Amino acid sequence: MLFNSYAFIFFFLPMTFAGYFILNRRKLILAAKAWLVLASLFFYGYWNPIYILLILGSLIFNYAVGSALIRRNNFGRSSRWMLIVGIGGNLSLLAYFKYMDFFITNINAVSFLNLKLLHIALPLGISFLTFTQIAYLVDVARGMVREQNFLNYSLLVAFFPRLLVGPIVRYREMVPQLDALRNKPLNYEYTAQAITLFLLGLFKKVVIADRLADWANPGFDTAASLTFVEAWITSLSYTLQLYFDFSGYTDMALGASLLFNIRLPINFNSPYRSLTIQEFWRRWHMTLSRFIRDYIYIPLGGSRASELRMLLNILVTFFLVGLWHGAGWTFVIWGLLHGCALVIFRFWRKGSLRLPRLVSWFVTFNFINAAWVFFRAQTFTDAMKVLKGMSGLTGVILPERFAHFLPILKGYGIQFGNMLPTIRGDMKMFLYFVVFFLLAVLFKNSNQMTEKLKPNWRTAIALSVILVYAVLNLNKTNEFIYFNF
Amino acid sequence: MNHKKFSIIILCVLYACLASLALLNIVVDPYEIFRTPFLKRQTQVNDRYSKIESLSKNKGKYNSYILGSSRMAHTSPDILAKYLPGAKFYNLATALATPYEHLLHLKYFIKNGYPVKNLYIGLDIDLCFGVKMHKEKELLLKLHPEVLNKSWIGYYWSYLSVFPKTDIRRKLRLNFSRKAKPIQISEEDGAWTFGEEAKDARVFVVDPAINDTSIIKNEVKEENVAGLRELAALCRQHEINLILFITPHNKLFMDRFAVEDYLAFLRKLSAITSFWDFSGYNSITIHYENYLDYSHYKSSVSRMIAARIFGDKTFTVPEDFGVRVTEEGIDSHLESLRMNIKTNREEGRSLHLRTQTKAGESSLKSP
Repeated sequence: MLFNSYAFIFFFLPMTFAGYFILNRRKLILAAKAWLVLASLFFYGYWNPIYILLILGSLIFNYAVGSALIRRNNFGRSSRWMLIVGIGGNLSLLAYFKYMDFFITNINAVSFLNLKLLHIALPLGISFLTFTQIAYLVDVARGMVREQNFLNYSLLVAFFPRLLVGPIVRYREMVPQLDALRNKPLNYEYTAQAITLFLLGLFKKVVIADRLADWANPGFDTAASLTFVEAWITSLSYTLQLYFDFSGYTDMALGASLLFNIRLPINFNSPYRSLTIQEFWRRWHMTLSRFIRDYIYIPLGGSRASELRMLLNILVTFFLVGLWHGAGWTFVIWGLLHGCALVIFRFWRKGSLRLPRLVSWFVTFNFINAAWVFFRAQTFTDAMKVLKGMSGLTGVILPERFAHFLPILKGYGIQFGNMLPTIRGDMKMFLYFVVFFLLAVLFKNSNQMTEKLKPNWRTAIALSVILVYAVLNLNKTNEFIYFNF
Repeated sequence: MNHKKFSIIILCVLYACLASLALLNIVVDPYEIFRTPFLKRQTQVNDRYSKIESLSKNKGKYNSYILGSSRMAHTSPDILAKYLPGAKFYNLATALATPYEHLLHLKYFIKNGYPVKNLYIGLDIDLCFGVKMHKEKELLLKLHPEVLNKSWIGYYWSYLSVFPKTDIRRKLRLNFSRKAKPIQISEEDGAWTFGEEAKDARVFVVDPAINDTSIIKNEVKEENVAGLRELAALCRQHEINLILFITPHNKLFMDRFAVEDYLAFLRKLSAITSFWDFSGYNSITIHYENYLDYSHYKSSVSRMIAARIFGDKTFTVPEDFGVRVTEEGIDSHLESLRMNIKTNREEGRSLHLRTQTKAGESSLKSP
């Protein structure tokens, strides 16, 4: 079940909401939590019922390891081994479902073996499940978590708003909210904020992101080559699509969670406003950045190691970040590009050179945009196709109507004609594009809008317009004429 | 305004929006699913749905079926009635129908006790290469829920919750301004019918600038081949007379086929059942006046196909139009077809441009 589906918005969410608060109102606190757990398992199993067993098995395993660690008061040698087993178990599950075919493909490439691919279906949200539970086990081992409650733990991991795409939550930031008595009754202020945030996220996903996908997909997936303008439209469309899609879905997750009086940590803070790559990682997928800092980078030594070791730590960390995002070398390249950028930034910062803000933003944004090309492309060749187009090596074509005004450009190899033969866009597309770009870079983000929500008629009308637009785009169909005689 | 009132207003708007959308789809009914009486003139129809509904109300009336894509949809059952006494045909051809869908329809008939004596199936090479079934969101191409063994609720919901603004606008325009031509499916036999304009009077427009010139490659053949194999087996099992032929694709289509993929498909088909092959560059396919457009042949061609298949000497059919292919003769047939394609493509027959659509005013030049 997806957030942007009728089943979720009009049936599942209202029923879960109603059940939870009815039970809380009757002081059936445990039953209310159990209701949320059952609803979350139903949500997960809606996609494929067999995976309920997977998530339950994972929950029980990690809870058992966590309980065993809690029972040992000090973090001795046996506890260390227990932690390793726990983390190993989680990573094994991830490796099996997500990376098996990647491993097999690479083994086949470097050896004479011709092993068959397993084509294992990837359970939804397994990457987030894994990281959340690893974070829990490490926090337990560090003594940051002392209590045991299976219902609370189940909700930490399987709470349906954050089950599929995060945010990656820590025990101590979610569980106290589940237990707090002030969160049991319905809170209309939270409800209003939650609905607003959810609808803003829905709009970002189904109206903006899906429209951008129509321009990005042909360029990446079907075109044999791209003109200069097409390549830039393709890459920028994807850059924006990814932001609106991911942040939109996260907004829906945060909104759905806030309906139950649970505030999850925000994940996006207008990342495309960043002036440096370091700032970008403090604004983009913030809970992931936090996780990799606290559970990978710092345990490796972090910034306290020698200079060379620190730089190596950054590269290793971002190698893993790339790999976590996807089982493919293009993801690894993307991760390493960001790692290298952070390394370069470290050296840059040590020098006294400062760039003007606009230049700094321009450089940062274009690096991020170029790196996303590897993230999106299916193969290295596809990525190079887009980058080649962006560099102008495949030719620059401007609209035919400019030929009269700028004939001199022909002397420089610029042609005039159909600027977008593959993407098939028009002037309206450019207009939409500019609006979406400005929304991402200049306007307040949805969290900022929601924090300062004033419930009045103007806001209600504006939100209603957004809502109607989003609902009309929820279930898209291909319209075409074949009875055209 | 307090937060409670704000939340309630937004939720009311949300549910009102959904209800309004559903109501709009029921009243306008752009795909003729709900059969509401408000806007009677139809621009488009999900004929996969409407034909099965029609059949379910007339169970037992028909015992033979014409299957295929829109290329078969104009074939009048009367053409076949004279060759198969006792056969009462219904034209179940639907736009972009794939062989896999023909199998699903046959299974539906068998499961629900429909009498089936004859199946007359036109196979389109390009559709055999494509998907086995169209995607869920292709609302015009969705099979009937009983054919799919799916729930009615989910099926209807998919039509209630969508906002096909172009199709809605088109239907409203048709019913209020009467400018567009309505589509009609014969209630009697399922064949597509049209308004006052005689379709056969139209002459084919050839414009290389707008016609698709992409190569048609054989990408998903196995699922459709498997579908045909199962269909043939079911016909043998239930003693159904299966008449299968390859559509006489016009020259423009033939030019686009990846040759060896196309021939390989014919070889696979010959191993399943014998068939009639009307494809290739022949007297019919290279003359555009035999076609309504670059994809659909005229009903005069349907008559020729039937006459050839049933050996009707009273009807003039060019000698090079249609050959029966069996597994034993497939090698020679493919060799002959390969030469035919090579010869015609090497000669580089050029496309002709013409501008007229009414009979008698054509400036068409045939190669």
